[in-house]
Amino acid sequence: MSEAEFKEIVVTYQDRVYNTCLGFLKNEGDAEDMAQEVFITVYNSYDTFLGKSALSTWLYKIAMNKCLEEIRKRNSQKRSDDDSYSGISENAFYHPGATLENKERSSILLGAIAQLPEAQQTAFTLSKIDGLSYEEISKVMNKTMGSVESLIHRGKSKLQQLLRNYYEGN
Amino acid sequence: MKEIDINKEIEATLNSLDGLQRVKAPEGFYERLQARMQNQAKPSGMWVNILRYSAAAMIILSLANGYLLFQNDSEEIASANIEDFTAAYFDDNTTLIEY
Repeated sequence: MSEAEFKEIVVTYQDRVYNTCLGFLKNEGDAEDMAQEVFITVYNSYDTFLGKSALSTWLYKIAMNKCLEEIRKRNSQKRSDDDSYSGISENAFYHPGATLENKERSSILLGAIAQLPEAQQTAFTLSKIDGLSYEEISKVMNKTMGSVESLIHRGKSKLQQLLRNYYEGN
Repeated sequence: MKEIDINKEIEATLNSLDGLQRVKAPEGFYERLQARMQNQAKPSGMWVNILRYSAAAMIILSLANGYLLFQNDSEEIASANIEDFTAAYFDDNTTLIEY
């Protein structure tokens, strides 16, 4: 891949990739590091990209897999530090794209999304934060549209429960 | 909090990500990415020095090896010449009387 081609890909997709990484990792510094790693992977493995899916789908897949890997690492570290925790995290992250009136609530929701099982969390993040359609999510996650709908539905039920526990406790 | 309020709050929270703006990558993202890639491609100073010393040691050993091989060959040629000379002039089947 030439430098010009690579630059064009980075400039075109940097916002989307950064936004996805921020949605998963909930930290601006970590999101930038991860977005850079995504593009380094793209540069090193561009020859293996067969073009069967759209370039954006491929990029979302790489970003999603790398972020989930990082989250798994963090969770295993957290588990070894404290086994008892199962609620919404108090380490609030205020998403810079949230409206002022929703800042507090969206922070609580992001904390709740982080408590969902991995597949539900992924589907919810891609839908609510990246604004992908169910069809796009199904391509990125390699699942049928029905599975994605089911993941979002079950995720929403679980979120309602987590939020209820949170508000009843506060 | 009352039950109705809780339900309202849950609903409002679930909808709080609606209309979320896509965040832009930080300024200078591409430049920092390029710098990172160049740093990854460059071997660190310590490894460069190790490679330099290894190459120098290889060259010195190869020269010493070549010199020793050359020395052995010359000695073999010299001793082979003496043996040829002895065989030609002092053959076991000949005596000094025959000369």
